[in-house]
Amino acid sequence: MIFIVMAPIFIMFKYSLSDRASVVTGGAVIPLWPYEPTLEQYRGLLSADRFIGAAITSLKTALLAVIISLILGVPAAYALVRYRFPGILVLTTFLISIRFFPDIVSVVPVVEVFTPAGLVGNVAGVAAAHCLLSVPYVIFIAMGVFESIPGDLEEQAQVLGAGKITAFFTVTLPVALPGLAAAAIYVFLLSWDEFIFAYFLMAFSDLSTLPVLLRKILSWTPQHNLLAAISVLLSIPVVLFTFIVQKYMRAGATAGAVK
Amino acid sequence: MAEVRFSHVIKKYGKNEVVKDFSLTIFNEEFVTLVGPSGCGKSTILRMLAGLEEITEGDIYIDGIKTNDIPPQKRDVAMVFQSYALFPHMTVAENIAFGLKLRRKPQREIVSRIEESLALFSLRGLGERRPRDLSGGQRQRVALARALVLSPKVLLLDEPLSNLDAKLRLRMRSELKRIHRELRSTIFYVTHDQVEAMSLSDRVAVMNEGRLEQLGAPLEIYNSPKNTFVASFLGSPPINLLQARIQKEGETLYVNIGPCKLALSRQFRESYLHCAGRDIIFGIRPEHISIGESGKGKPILATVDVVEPLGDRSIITVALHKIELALITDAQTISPLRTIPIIFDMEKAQFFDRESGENIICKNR
Repeated sequence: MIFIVMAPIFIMFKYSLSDRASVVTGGAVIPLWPYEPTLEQYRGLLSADRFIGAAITSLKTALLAVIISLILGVPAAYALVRYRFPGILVLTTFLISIRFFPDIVSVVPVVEVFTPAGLVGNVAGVAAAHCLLSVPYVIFIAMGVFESIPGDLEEQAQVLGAGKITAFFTVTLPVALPGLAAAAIYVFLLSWDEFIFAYFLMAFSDLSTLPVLLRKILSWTPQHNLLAAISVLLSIPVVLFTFIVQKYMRAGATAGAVK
Repeated sequence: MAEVRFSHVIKKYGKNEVVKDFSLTIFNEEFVTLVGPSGCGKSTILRMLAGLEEITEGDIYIDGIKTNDIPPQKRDVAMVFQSYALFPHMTVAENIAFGLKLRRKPQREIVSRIEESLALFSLRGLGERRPRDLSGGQRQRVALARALVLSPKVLLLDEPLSNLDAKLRLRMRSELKRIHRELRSTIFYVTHDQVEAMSLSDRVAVMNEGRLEQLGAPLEIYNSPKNTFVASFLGSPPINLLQARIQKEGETLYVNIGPCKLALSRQFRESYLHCAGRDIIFGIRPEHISIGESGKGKPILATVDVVEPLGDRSIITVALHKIELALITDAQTISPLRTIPIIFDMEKAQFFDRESGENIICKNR
């Protein structure tokens, strides 16, 4: 199991350090570890404006997507859980309906709507498109989180003297934070890795996110070691972001609240 | 501390009336318990008083002020939930300080009030712990401390002991009684446990299906229940309710239970004379049936069915011509299938109308 999981990561990592001779072997077996490990690829990439630019675009897009989808999704989820109103099922179905279709199907209508709105060829547009994908998930994750928090806590806060809004911000939200962090990680990953929407929405501009850049390089010069290096760099922020947010993901956040 | 008055309060969920015309006054410093089976509407009443539930009809007054439309945070009542509802992301001290901070008390006062209440509830040294690191009993005390630190007008307790184990429950019960004595707070307590209701309260209100069945001091209700529901709800093991018939022979009234004929003493003759020839329900508590030949009245023979020893006494189920009866005795030597003589203490017996279930004497008064 560990082997299956680790093998691709190892191969990617190995390639990223390989010198040209270890990749282009002319028919001989590719060595398990490069003959002369080198950071050449990384040096090249990190000094290339194109790569840095794409990385910054990706980061901006992902963070923006996280912020927007939490702002939209969390209050929606809270309302869906705490207040009962008619048509709730229809509403939730509508909210996730974009996920009924493959991305490649929904991308054209999205671009069509986004173009007159000026959401094409910029970070905001891509982030907005990513929110279309992520908000349903945020709502679902956050609904689960709020459902797991007993309503007693909020009512108790009210009886102790808090208004509804104070009760939400002093009790419910802090208790929900670990679960919402998970949602944030999810959105970040989704946006960071997303290709189709980013590709179409940035098609006629100089901007590109990392997955888009990766594709551009792939179509011209498929160099294994360079590609692997990009892949490694692509994974680093994901790992970092996960570690940062994980601090809030303590298990048993509500333990001891009731009973 | 304050007086609470419910005036013809009704609560409906859609067409379902869960609280029916509920009126009750809780006097200043009084400990009143609302007791009834689960789903009888008692928690709803408590939540309406706390402001967590809207009132469909009727009014609730706290200290003479109508509170129907006052939001919970402005009612100056404190409530302890069955689940305790401790804030898991706060320490014990922060939990206790929560209400004080919202009332913008000066920091120094908050600190000293926390210290006081930690001491009062034997929680010293636990101020920095989180709720998850506390035992059930400690959590319960934190919940109480958090409510009482605000010196509320009324303290509402919703089944606060039901999540504790039997031993702890007993200890917290006396603890609650001590706290009530020391702080002289008005307490409104909700439980389905009749023992808690009996042992804690100044007055008990028995509820069933959204209706207040009877209100009174614990012993008053125990000794003269208004109907068969109240009679069987209070007391463990429950009162024996038997189909019977009152008959007049000459100058004496008899209660016929199956083939047994029990004479009523002269002093009750007046009260039940009008029931002569009527079918009734005869109620007798297990502790009012004694074993032996001596005592008031004529012994009847019954067969021992089950013996449940409790240590100091035993619950014994006997069969009296196929009618099952429970009785409590301190005799240690009873064994099943033996035939023993039993005597009913007719002075303590209750008579209920067969149709309505109402106590015949209460109704007459």
